[in-house]
Amino acid sequence: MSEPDFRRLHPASILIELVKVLKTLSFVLLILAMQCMRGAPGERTEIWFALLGLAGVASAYIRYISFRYAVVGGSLIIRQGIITKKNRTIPIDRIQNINITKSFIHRVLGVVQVQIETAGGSEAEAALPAVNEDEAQELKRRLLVSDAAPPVAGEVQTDGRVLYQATPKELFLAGATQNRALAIIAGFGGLVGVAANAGLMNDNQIVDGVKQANAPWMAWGFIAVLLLLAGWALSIGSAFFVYWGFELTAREGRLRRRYGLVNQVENVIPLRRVQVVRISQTLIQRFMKLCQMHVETAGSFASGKADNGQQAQSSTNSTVSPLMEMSSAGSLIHEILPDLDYSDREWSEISRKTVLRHMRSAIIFSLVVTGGLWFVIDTWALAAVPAVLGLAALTGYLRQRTVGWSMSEGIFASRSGVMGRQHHFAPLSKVQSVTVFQSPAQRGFGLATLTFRTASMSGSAAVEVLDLEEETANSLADHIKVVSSELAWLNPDGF
Amino acid sequence: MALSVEGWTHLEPKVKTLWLVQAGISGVIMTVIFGVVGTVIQSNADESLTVPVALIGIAVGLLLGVIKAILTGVKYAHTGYQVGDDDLAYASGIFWRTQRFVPRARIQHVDLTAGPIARKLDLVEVSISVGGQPGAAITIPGLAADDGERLRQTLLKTAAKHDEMDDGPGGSPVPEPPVYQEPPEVSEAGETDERA
Repeated sequence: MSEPDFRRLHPASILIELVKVLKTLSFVLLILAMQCMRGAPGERTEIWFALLGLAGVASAYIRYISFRYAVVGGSLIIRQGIITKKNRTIPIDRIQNINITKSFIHRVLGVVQVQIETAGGSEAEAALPAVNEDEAQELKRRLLVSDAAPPVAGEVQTDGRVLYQATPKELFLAGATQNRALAIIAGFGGLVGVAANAGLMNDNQIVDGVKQANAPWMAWGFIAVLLLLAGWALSIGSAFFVYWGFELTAREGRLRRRYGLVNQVENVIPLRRVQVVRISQTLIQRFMKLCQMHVETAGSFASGKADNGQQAQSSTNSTVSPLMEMSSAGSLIHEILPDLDYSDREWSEISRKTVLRHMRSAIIFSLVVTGGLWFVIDTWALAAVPAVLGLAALTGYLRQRTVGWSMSEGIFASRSGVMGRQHHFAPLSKVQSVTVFQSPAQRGFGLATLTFRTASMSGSAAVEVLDLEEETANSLADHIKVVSSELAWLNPDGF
Repeated sequence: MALSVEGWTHLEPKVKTLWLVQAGISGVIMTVIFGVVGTVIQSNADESLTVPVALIGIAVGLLLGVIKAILTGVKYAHTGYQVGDDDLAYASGIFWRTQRFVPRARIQHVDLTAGPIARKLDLVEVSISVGGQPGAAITIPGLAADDGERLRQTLLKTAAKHDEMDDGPGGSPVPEPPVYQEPPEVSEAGETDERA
């Protein structure tokens, strides 16, 4: 075979790599900068700066010079390195998904980053830091060629059907109904603490101000509300920032999504690689009949942790719909898992005995609490018993009403979550293992937990049903075992 | 009986010896740790501390080791595996019981490991890995070395046989002939290399 056409990256990759190197060195640089500020003459910290900069440029340049890639036959080949040579071959039919991302620097330079993921781990198997946009699209086309049905001759290349598009209103609601506010407030609190420590702000100022007010509790309440509003606004802002222009399209058996205001992301995932479809709802979203939809794959399907770390949170990286009406979730899920009829699905509840199991562990817990409180508030501690028991009865009851499962059309589904709610849908052909688990308390009541795992490594992809009747758990496991083993032989890859 | 292992294949009885030795070792370690912690607490405490913390620590460590040793028989009775036509099942746990099933077609690789004590007893540990899960999906702790090797052969042979029946990975039509061809006799181990 003749030497294939090996390509180089775009020269902009030197700059991008340099930024990356500087980012990893930022801590060292910070220390150096502080040394500089101290300004002892004759220490020559500037020289260290220059040396570090030079080393950064050199390593970025070497990476660029030594990096070559090509699509040969059925594989993507990447050559890398000058002293230690690395030659990586990725079979095209092992590719799980392809991410094309643009950070702010990428956009300024007019290039994109391409990441290719196989089922091999939590990070992208291969990353091309900077490629010409057209070339990236061409590469994507060639890499995904074997996954879809062979193109019909004369068929016009379309952009695909749009399955979902986020309107600004939906993005607003996505941010407004997410439970991010608390996390942001916590972060804000931490920031204030740091600022106070650094002497930039005197935290006593606030405390004193409050103490001087006529009604201190009102002032605290006011601050709390203010923080909550600020967190809320930030949450909405970040939803716009992350999901701006979110669009999900389907073409030739593949899903493609695009989103992002500053850091733009484009993912392509073959539909037959979908392991689990997940619908999640926060408590507020449940009241408003809204939901989020996620697709779990065996690749990390993430938007490049190394480069835009803040963005690639586990909650965002598998999202195929940041927010939609619950009523239209059925039609979208039908596009992703064609066998699934969402609206007609029958759900089975878990065992009523789950309430009793909750009560039993609550009795033990309440005794411990009472024992502890006895030393503090004497006989009042006995009040803990009905309080804990009542709470346990309530959550047990709610859980019994909530948790459910459903098995039909070759898809196993679970429903869970007392406050926020999750629906999981997993095709039996994707099962990697089924586990029936029984804790001592569950054994006492004849209950068991069933867990269904696919090749997706994300923890949220495990399909779990708590407190099933023991016989139900066993027969379900048997059924899944038999059907999925059959299917597994037909598709030995499994992902 | 809940999640019973009746009719399942039990491990090699010698594994009880292995577990006993392991219980002994961990008992000694725990006794030392608890003893040291207790001694430190006692030596730093003032006179008001009348309880012999160091002694209690040592006693707790010993007790845990003894309990572990006593339970080896029960543990053995509750551990078992089953090699079905299409699946592999493994059950374990005395109090917290687990039964796990893995479709045999999903098995990615099978490892045999043996530590120094296990080697003396001629035992191996068989770890079965599937896709997408870090670590082994199923670890069968104590099989006779021959049985372990035979189990590995059985599990991998079926996987390879069914691979051949299938036309190409994933059964999807590939326009160009892929450069990377799997040699006919190679089992899953080859596949893993290919993906790595």
